Amino acid sequence: MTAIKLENVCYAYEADGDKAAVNAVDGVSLEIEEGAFVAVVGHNGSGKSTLARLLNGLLLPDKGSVTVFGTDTRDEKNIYNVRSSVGMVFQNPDNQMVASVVEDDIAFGPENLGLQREEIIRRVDWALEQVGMSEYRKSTPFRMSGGQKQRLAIAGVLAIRPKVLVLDESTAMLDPKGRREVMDVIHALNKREKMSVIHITHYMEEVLEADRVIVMDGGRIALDDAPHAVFARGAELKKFRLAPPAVTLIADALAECGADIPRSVTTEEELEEAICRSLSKD
Amino acid sequence: MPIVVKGLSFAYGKGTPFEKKALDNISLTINDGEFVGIMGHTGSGKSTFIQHLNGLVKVQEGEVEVNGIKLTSAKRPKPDYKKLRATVGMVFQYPEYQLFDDTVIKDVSFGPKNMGYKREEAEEMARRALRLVGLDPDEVGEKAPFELSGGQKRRAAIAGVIVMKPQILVLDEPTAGLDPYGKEQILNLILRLKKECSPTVIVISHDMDEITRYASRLIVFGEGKVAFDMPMEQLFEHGRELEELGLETPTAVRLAAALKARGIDLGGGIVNMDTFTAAVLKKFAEKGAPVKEFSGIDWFGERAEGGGQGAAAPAQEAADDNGAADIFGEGL
Repeated sequence: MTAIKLENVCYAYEADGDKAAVNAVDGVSLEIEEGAFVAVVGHNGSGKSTLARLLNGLLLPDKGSVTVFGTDTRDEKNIYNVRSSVGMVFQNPDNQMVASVVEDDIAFGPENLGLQREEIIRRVDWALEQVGMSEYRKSTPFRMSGGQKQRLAIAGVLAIRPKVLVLDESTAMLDPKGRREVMDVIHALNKREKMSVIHITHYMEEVLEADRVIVMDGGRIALDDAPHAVFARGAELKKFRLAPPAVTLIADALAECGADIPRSVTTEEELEEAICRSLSKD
Repeated sequence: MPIVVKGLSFAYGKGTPFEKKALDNISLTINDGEFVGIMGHTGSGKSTFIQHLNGLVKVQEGEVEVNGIKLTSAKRPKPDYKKLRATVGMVFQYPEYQLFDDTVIKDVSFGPKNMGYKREEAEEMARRALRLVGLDPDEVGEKAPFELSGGQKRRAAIAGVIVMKPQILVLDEPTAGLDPYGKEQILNLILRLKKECSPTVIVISHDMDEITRYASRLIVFGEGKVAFDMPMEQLFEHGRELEELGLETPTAVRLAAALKARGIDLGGGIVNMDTFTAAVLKKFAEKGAPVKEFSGIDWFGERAEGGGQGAAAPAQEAADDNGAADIFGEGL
């Protein structure tokens, strides 16, 4: 089933003084299947974040349409359904906390939905369990690491029971351990709960873990393919200001210097294998 | 003159129930002309440490000496903070959030004006600083900072720091949140600043693959202590301990270990993707394969000279190069 469908979507921020309005998202058509894990990449200013905000009606398209499980985001009566279906997690964990005790913070969403107390408790329990933070329910978020805070931000969104999780550079401010924690949580949600994940990132290693990668450039979709196939395009990525992951960079440099190594290698095991094979040949 | 730190300890909320030790008996020396990478997970003490370097937090225990300016817990003699802050330029995380004035030129000249320079002098210094970070003062000078792109904003914010010609430049995760090309550009800018303005550079980074290509020395913080401060090659023999500190070894080091386990020994000195690639190509050459000369990985074709321990190993040269060029045209 299609979770989110975009048809020829355009969006421009309001014109500022003498500068004409430019489409930040410019004619994007896209379908995201339920249960998919999609990475979105592109340089700063390529339209990724605007695209993310169009997915749950934070922004409404100027032209074209965005449909979330069959509901148009411009349908004012149903906007809360749309927002409940598509949860957003942003970059800075500190900006996403509303309460000084973890369980109160997680309960904020379901409380606003007007749910019964028992149901709220159930959801808080469930959400904290999903992100591995159950033992912290009575703690305060302010003394936690970035990775822990970001997992709480995810739990806060999960308590609304969304079907799609959109992460807008949610790993950008974290250290490697914090990033791994967040990636593990969203992969588990994707596999276990069949939650669709749309993950915007600048880290190519994270892109490799997705089923599908969308490359944005100038508000349009430049590439839409499996990660492996995207990185196999080599030098073409430069025009989107992208660089492949370290392993592919090394493989590319070896091939460039004449060594018999395929350029499209994306994992350490593949590169190790390719070097061994090539060196043992006569 | 170097940075000498002796027995430095620091706790937040000292004397309260929330007292938390951030630094625990740190001693180290950073010499002129070094490019030091500082690593460690969130809460390891690295940010508290760099904040000591220009007196943003007061020394509680131990001693910090920067270019002869001594900082201790004693109230007197009062250190010359003005001179200290002109010596150590501090670029915080996401520095573009600190742009505040209504034009770029006013923002960048704020520092020198505050230090007592006349408006014309201060603005001339700001124009030079903007040029140095790769912005055209005639084009962006009168613009509001908000009109600049993300990468330009970060450059403008860096200009506001280097406008005072600090001998020591400290940057806290300068590439956070940038796309790959933006990262490469900022790293190249740092190399340029090291050469032309601030001979000693200290960078906090989380990216092993990146920092090993630029820094000539890594200092790893863990639980408020200096966990490792040794040549990179030795450091990466401590893979498991690094992992316990929430850090990884570079991709290249892991690959070299995997190849060694399969009987291909690339020898010593592998600390980053450049040294790894060079060593593998050497193996190919020994087998008689026709391989071309390798001068370092340069994906975007814009890599500046003088970074890290590359194939051409310009690191030492760069580290010894204390004679910063006189880009301000007034003698250093």
